[in-house]
Amino acid sequence: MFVILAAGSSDVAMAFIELGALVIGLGVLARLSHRVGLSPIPAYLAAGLIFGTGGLAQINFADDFIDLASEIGVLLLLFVLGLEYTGAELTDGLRKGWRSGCVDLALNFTPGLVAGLLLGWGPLGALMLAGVTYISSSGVVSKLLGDLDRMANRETPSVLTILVFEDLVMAAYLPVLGVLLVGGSVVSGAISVGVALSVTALVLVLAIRMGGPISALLSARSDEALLLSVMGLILVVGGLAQRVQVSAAIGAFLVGIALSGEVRERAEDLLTPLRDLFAALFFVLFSLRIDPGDLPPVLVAAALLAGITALTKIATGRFAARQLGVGPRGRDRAGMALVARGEFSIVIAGLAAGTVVDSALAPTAAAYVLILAVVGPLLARFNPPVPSLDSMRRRLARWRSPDRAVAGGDASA
Amino acid sequence: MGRVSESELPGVGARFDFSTDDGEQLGVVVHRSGRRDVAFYDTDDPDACRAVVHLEEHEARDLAELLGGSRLSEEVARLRHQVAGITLDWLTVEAGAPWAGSTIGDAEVRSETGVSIVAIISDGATSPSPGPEGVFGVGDTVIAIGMPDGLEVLAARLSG
Repeated sequence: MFVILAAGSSDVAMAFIELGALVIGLGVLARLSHRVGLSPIPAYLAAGLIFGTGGLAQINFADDFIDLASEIGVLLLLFVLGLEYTGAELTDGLRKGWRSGCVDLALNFTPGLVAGLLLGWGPLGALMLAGVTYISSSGVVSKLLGDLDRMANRETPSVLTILVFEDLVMAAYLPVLGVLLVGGSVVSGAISVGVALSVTALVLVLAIRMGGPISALLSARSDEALLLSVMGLILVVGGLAQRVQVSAAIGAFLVGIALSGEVRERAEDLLTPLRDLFAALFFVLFSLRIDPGDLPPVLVAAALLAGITALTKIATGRFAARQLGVGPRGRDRAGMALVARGEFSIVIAGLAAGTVVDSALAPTAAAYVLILAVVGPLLARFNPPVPSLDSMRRRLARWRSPDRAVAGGDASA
Repeated sequence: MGRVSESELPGVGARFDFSTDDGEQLGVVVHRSGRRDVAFYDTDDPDACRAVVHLEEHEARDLAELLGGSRLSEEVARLRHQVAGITLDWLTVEAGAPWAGSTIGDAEVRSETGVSIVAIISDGATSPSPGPEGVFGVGDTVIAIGMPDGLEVLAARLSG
């Protein structure tokens, strides 16, 4: 912002016009996406690809401001995610959902990890791709459940519990990633990871225990005062977290968890619109940096990964719903609802900006999210029949059994 | 409220399940925002909903008034009429009750219970201050005034 103020008045005019045109463009995309019942995230990403580096039309934005705005977008995304669940819901989710949560982690973290290693991105790149494939888009999923009138369905608690668990995994994953991205020797890295995790755990426990007093301190009658103090707190805690290499996003997330009661609800109302604005800038900036020419080489890998991790998410949802005694159709619905990946996959990929893994990870993650942010909601809406692992195994066994082989031989003869 | 079960919906609120005597399954989702969803479960697929009605907070209150309000106001009126130990009560004459079909005089209501019969409502027709010839017809509503223990005796004699 200071950069804009310091620049000449014609520069300011240009910056305003460019930024305004960008935001209007995003507004049109959001409107179109909502009309067809899709998340606007893939549209933002596509817009960034078209207008960015090496795209169809190249636009130069007042970079410093948008850079900062997009960083704030990440903080607000994580803050609102933290707000979504109360401390009690998080501890409850951990207690009740650990089984499905671990299945989710095993089934959806592993494909990304293996793919990253196969693509030769090294352990760090693989770890980041694992995060990208692991986390469902809680924004898209909960909006889907609402839009499709599924909040009362009996499989829905299992879906929501998975989202809560993923939330907690992010609280451990992001600090580890933050430290690893800074780099250093194995020993110093291990120490930093330990420190980062203990700080996060400590603050998490404090936030859950001390949520009341913190909220009471922030409580203000005027919306203006509440907005400013919460926003300020997010930035300060985010900055402090970044200082101790825990990642600013986690700081914002913890602030979200710490708020409770009436302050929590009002903060959600006040800051969600801000999040929508800044997060839109973040998504578009993320893909502006990507040269569309880099997409075709990664497209096959991204599509394959999307296919595999769509199936593994479906299996996860089926497992989680079965834990609650839900019937086959409900299990399918739970599985398909979880397929969508979105904002947090991009947040993870965005953390790689400026590091060695960035050039390969960013286009892959963009393509991956473009596919699943569109396919996920469509799957959830139409629930096409997808064979379960059991039925596939049975079919395979039947196909392998000797009498079947004879019959097959006859047919071909 | 015996058949109501509750499930948590993290990030959303809570869901309450309810089944009627007919076997109809109902659910109410209470959102943190105060919004309520009333869901009717599908008989083919009991995990899914056949229909969902979304109610804002004030609409939910209106519906609750319609569903349970009259019983509530009866209770309130009952309490309001409990003045200085004297209570006004509504009672229904049940089939097979000791006093079903008999008159106030034959039953010797006054000496047995000490309460006064204020009115007998039969098929919507009210006979105020009935005399000894007033009949406790099955299904009639009897409005009586008296001490609580006397009313308890009357209630026992009018129930099957």
